Amino acid sequence: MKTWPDILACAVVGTERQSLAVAPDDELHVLLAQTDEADREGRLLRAAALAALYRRAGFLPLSETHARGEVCEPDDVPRCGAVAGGHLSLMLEGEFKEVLPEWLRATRRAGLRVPEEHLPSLLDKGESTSALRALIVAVAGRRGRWLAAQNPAWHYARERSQGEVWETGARDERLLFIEGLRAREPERARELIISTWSEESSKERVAFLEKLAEGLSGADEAFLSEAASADRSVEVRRAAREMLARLPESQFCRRVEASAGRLLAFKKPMLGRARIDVAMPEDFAAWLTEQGLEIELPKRDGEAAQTLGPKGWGLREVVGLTPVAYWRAKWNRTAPEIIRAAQESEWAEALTRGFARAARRDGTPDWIEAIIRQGLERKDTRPDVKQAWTGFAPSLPVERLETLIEELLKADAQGLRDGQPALWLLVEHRREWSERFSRAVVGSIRKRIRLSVAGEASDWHLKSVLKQFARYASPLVGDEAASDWPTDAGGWPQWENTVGSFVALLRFRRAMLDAIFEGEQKT
Amino acid sequence: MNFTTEQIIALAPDASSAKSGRALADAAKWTMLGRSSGGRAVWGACAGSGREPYRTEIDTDEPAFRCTCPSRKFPCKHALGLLLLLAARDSLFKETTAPAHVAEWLAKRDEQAQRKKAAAIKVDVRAAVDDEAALAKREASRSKRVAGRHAKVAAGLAELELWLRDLVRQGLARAQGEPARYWEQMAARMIDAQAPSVARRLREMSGLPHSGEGWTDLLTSRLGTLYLLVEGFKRIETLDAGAQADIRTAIGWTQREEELLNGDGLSDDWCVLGQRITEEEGGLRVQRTWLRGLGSARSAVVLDFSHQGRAFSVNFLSGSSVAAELVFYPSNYPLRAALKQRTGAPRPLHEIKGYATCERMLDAYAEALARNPLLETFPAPLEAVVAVGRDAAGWFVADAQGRMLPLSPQFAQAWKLVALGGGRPFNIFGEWDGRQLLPLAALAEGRYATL
Repeated sequence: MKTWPDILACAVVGTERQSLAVAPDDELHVLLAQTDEADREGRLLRAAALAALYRRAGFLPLSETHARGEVCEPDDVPRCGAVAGGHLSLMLEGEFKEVLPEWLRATRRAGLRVPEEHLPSLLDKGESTSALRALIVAVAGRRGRWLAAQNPAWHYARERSQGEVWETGARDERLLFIEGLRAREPERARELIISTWSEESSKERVAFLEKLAEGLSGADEAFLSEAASADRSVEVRRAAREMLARLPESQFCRRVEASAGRLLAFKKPMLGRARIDVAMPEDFAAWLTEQGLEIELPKRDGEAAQTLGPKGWGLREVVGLTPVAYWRAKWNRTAPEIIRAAQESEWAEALTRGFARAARRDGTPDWIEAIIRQGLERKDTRPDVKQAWTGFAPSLPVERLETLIEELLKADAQGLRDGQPALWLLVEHRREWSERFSRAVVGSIRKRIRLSVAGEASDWHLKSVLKQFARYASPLVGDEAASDWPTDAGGWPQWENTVGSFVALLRFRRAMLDAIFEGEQKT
Repeated sequence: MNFTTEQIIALAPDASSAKSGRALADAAKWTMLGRSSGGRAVWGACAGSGREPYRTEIDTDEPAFRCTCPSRKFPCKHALGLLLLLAARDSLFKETTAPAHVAEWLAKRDEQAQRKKAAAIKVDVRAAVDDEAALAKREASRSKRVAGRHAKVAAGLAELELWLRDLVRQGLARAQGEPARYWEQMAARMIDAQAPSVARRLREMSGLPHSGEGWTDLLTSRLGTLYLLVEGFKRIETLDAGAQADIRTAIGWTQREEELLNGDGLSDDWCVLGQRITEEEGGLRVQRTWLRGLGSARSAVVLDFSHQGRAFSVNFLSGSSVAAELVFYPSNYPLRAALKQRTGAPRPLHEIKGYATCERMLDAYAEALARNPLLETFPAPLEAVVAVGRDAAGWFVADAQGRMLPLSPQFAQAWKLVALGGGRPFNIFGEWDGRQLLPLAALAEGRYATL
């Protein structure tokens, strides 16, 4: 439509300044020429009207110039049902989003994938939250991987060769990759880590060393020894030592055990309590070097030495690197006995922390439980002291932790509440709770509410963590948790909303898991 | 038929109702759940803040809702929750005899439907039997009303013409610098002149000067179309009935729905291809439901209006087809229709029938424009397209011939189209305005998805 640019120009400038000239070879010339030349506005408006209509009716589509991409092969994995998809959509919009990881894991376990319409928002979520990426990739299906390849923001989810992941992936992806590889080919995993070692940041080096825990063997000793003595970062050297401590046959372990054995002695006098004596050398630093242990003590007034002092710190390190089995064998005493004896020593704090660290690394339930019980006995509520032993709850096997907590709950007639060790331990229990245990905890909370008084502002901590409990409590308890709350208790109004959120999250998890495992498999 | 969660949420009058509805889709909150044999009605009781539980019932044929809660929203959160619960936990609703109040309600609905039909017939009958004098009197007062409005509109449009002439005399560059008031005052004048759709067009135009690149193109086109309307109205008596109706519609002067429904409609299996809700001045919401008849291949759009949070009164479910009779508003290219009656229950759609290529759709559009130059949005169901992205140029849909139509920049779900299609052609339905396509729904691999 030849005259269109002129029409536009004239309209922008105004007919006051410019009159519309219609090109004689314009298709609409005849129609446009019908107006009175003197009526500039009318002429322009009429031309605009005709031209607008002409252009709309005569729209010419562009032609495709690029070749289309590949078609996606059909998926052999079935989709999760529409209801499950609805739950996913809800979580991606923000409601109950804390249980999105659980949804993704469950969908994967059920052998299903995410329906196509949810893939873009799910992939977007993975782009912004890298911790979810592995879970998302597991349920994206072939369509998801095909889609991800087309948008650079989603490249984390596309099919990639292993080399590509290692060389160009983000930190979490590489860690995940190494973890997987280490499980299948431990040697190759170590070699790969060594190949890029000098280019990695110290944080990365520490993380990769930790990944060597899986499938750790004597073959790793050489590399670890090198890192333990020669790496330029203090944290890396420490992490390497921690790894070596898991190899009882290593030179390092032998040296540590020998040194520790020289320092500590278990004494049981005829009368009085057992205790552990520490033969602390005058120049501890020099002594450590003599033993062949390259452990640098912190400065006297430095931060690391604050609670324990430099010697205490060093003692903790040495004891912390010694496998707990060594003490069992040497002294033929049980874990609770040894822990209790440590309390009687002048170096009680350092010893306890050292044993605790060793126990956590070695994963021996008896020791971990002994440390927790020791903490319970001490009744010291200072936060750092408390954290020292409650922080072990995640290392204790679930059944033993739950038994311990239930013991504490039963012993108290007032129900779960703030300031109670049972609550501190419960907050650390971040794995799936058993059905029976969940029921017991709910019962204990109900007991507490039943005794509550109107207008009393209490149990802030319990109220604030109740929602967290709903993430781990057994969804099977959801139905009974929905009712039988003491709504006539004096303090119920202060509890109503918190309990409501707890029940809502728990029942949502139940509904979500039901939809995944029992819902229609195909839409 | 089975409703999907998506369809049910789409019935909610606003986001907070949708959220509350979802919270109530929980078996623990309901007692006395049941459904009628055949499944037409479902019901239940839900504990609320009152002493008695609220009783909610749903007639799944429309769907229609009733609840004893005091909420003014419609459907209320209880109705939404009950319907969501039905979609997720079907087995909870056992077939039993309906409680008295439910049976009563269903019976009343059936009776009302019958009465409506009868009343329609009655009006025709009455019109024939009334004596001449009464008829003449009614006619006279109607003519007077029409003439009155006509005069008002004419005066308003005359002012509009002067304003348009002023605008182009000074030029769009000057107009770009004018404050919003410049447009709003004329829009308000149009409301006074009983020309509300002209007011709407003006409001839409007021945003153009600041909309970025290409605004002069868009604004000039719109001004041209508005001038067409103004000139058309001046000559309205010389035009045929269809054109007269189109001009009046473009002004916002339409026939009353009750009057229209007296006429005969077109009965067909109507596929509900897509829906769109827009907000207008004064808290008014407009829902456009696009339909296409399976037998007649006719397109139709049903408009519903809602004020201040009430739900739309007729509930068509996107992605379903339903046997119904629609009556079309007069036009040289009839599109807008009103629902006269539904004669069956909705069934899910498994394909969208439409234009095989972009060219066919554009041809049909040109024909439609030729008949009604004031047509704004055109229904465009396309049978086999793929979504194609061109970086800076934006997104398109391409057909089997390799022709591409640009997608409206306000459409934010292009990746969903790619995901649904998987590289293979799929059905799509959207609104075409002569420049861009606004997708409303897609159907791929037998699954319908709203966009």
